[in-house]
Amino acid sequence: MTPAAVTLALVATLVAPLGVGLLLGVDRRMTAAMQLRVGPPLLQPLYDLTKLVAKRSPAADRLSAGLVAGQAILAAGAFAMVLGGGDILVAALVLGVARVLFILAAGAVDSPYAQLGVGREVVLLVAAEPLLIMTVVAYGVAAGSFASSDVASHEGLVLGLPTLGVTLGVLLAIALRKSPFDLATSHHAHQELVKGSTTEMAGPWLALAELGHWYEAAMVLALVALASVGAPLIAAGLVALSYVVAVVLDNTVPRATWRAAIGIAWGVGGTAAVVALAMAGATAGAV
Amino acid sequence: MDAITLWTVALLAIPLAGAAATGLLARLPSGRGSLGAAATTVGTTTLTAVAVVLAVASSGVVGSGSEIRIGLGPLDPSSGPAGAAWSVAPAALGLVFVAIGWRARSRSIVLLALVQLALGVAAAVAELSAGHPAGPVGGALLLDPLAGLLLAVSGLVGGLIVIYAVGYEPVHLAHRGLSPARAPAFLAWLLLFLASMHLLVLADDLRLLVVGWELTTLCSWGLIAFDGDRPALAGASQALRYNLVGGIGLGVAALAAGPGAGLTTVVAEAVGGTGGAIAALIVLGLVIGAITKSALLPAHPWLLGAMVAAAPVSALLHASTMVKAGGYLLLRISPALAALEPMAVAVAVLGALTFAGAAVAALREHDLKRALALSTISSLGLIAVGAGIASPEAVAAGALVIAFHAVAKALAFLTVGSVEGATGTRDVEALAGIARRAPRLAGAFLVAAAAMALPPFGLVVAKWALLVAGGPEPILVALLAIGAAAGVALWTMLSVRLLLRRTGPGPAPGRISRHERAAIATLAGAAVLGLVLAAPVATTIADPVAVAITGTDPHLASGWSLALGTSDFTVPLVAALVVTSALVVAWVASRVHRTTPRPYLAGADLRAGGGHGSASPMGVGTAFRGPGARIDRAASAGFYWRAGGAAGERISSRALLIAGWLGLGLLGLAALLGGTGVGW
Repeated sequence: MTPAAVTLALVATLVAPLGVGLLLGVDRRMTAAMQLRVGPPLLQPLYDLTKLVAKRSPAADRLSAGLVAGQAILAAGAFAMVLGGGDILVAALVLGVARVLFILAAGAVDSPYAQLGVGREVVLLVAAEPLLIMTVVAYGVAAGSFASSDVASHEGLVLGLPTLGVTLGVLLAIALRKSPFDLATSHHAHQELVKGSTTEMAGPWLALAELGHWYEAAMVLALVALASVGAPLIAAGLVALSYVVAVVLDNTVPRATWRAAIGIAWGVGGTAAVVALAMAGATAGAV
Repeated sequence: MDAITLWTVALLAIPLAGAAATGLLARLPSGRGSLGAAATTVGTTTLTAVAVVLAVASSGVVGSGSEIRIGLGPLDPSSGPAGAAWSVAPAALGLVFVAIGWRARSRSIVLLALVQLALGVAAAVAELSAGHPAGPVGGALLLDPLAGLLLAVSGLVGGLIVIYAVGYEPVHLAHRGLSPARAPAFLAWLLLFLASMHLLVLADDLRLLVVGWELTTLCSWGLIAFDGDRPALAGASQALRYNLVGGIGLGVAALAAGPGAGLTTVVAEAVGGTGGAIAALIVLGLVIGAITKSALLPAHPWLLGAMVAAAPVSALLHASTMVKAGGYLLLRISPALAALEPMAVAVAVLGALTFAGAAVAALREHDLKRALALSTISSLGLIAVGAGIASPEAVAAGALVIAFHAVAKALAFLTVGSVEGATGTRDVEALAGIARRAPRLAGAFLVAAAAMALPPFGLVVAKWALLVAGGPEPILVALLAIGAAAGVALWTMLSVRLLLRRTGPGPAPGRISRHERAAIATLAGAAVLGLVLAAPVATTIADPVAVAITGTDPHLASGWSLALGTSDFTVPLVAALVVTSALVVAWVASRVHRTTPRPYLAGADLRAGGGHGSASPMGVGTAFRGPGARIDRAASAGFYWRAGGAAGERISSRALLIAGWLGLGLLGLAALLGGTGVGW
């Protein structure tokens, strides 16, 4: 890794939340349009985040405050690893640590709502982590290397492993806490548990938690981008399509029960990932 | 006698002598030997640890792939009478097992022990009729990096556990209403176990291997049954039954291989393709032995039953050392598995099924020891995956699992033992929030949890390496991914309960003996060192094992990337990231004001001074006014993978068994195919 690449990766990591915030703004506008509303300004998620940062809220628990800061750093670190040309499997494992720290932070207080959310966060961890690992291994097998720089330079991943699109879609929905995977914490006021895992977080601590989630989403998006460096137009189309599908699903399907969430994630995303792994193995064997 | 031989023989002799001395002290009336037994035990374990260090250091196998053959002098099986004696010894142990089965009124144990007896007699007859004594040239013991690793685990980690037991056992016996005067007998069993384990891992000659193997089975039975109550005896009988089946597998393998065969010759014949169907039979016998010893599916029930034993027993036999014997054997014969290719696939699949199945099943448990046992089974499956994949990277990863799991799981079991001793419970729900009341003790458990689940600890390096090595096999990768995720989820769930800030009363730990404290602190220190030194540890431990077994250096530690190319990403960088975030956690936590705002209860909570608050019998914390103005407390419970209550329990345990039997069927088919040379 050259110093220039490190600098670039760090700068991009710092800028990444802006991109995710913008994406969430588009999401809210689209949702509003579907409900015949105008919706908030495009930059509203970023305004919300800065507002949270500026607030002076006490932490519900000292340990929780520390952990929530730690998880944001680790999530950003995992994302930086992918951008910096590092090992994507290691980055996926580090992202797992960030999720673990978030869960520990959320569960530090004996709050019934937060604890309910924590239980469901664990379910989502079990649902999402295998998909992430399988996706990354499929990349590595197809590209012959787990270094993200090699994966990026390997052409035709997006066309060679089309089923991974489904897996990545599920991962994105989980990372953004979208329906039917918004059981632990939700953006929709009509759900039976609106703020579960983040119930006891406020102000800057909530902002840090959000930031961690944004980096998690950024990591999934980075994985999508890695697969499609060779074919940017197709990739952009696919990303836009899957994003629209995700937003439509978010607004039309109800929240899943925890068993259904695992069933959907493993059944749909997992099957797609196994198919992709088999295809990756076959193409790698052929070469 | 040169230095290596001296220290290696000392490894067998010192614990044996210590066990004999402690056993004699245990016979003294009314516990007069207690102090002497404690001193003897501490002395013996210290000497054993020194012998391990000196034997491994003087042999020069550390950091290199070299191996050294060591003779036993007059006791070496290559000399006639000694060889016959080693052959007859399993039959003698078979007699002991018949007696045990007879006393336990277990027909199955008697039957299995009789089969073992017959196998032992047959082996002895075969040896005597062959006329001339045979044995591996240059000695029956083999010290190589893998044996050295196992010796270090049992001598150093095992030694710490035995020292812990010195402080733990009298208190434990008193808790159970038993006489503390029985403690010396317990320590004698532990020391005898250390000697048997050393024989097992050093043995190359199959006759010695079988003796060591059966002795560990005997120790396991004795230690599980030690408390003498009904669950203890039932658990001990169950463990004995399973391990006797494995012992028979090993006995058949030894008989088929003939007198004088060693693990190295068995592997060489299988790899050379000269063994034919017999080679497949031998390897199958060894694999069956390994499956039962390591409690892989479907043999896992015995390890769960063994959790009735005292904490040091669970830590020493059923987490760190004895159950590793199966994984050790699989790693040792992995070139033979690879040569009989279908068998390698079957072992890898069985291991992966175990890894994923046990980890998912553990999510049901809130009994800490049962959760730890299932997690142990899961990790043992991971070693089997490494042996099944059989590439240098995979074998090195398997060795890494042996090393790191031994430290982490021993630490976890000992901590749970001390917590249970001090609070009287090991239920996570009853212990919720213990980390706030006993930060040091619970902190040790959290260190163990981190070592099991978080990068860049060795266990995660191993998972990562196996994912890379298993890359082309979709089912294998899927099972590994599910197992890894479930493992992380398990440790997260347990940690989150312990870290909870819960107001109100809860069990507070009392005094913990200094032996226990010393052992826990040392192991926790070793686990943290493992975080910082993950890369050098892999270079000195894991890579040489792969060199010794496969002949190729996988360079597991150089950059965390292997087999499929290189990347610039290195363990130290991940370690730096994790350490940085840990420091940030600590720094922020220390800067934030200590406040205890009441949790959100949707506005129904009772405020102190608001008429009900402090006067409420339930306390203020999470008390709220529920339906019908009833005052309720919203104490939260943890989430467990509970679907369908007791019926769900049956379904999940049945699913594990079915998966295990399918895997076993696959193994039988693979042996058939491998033996006939058909291949897939």
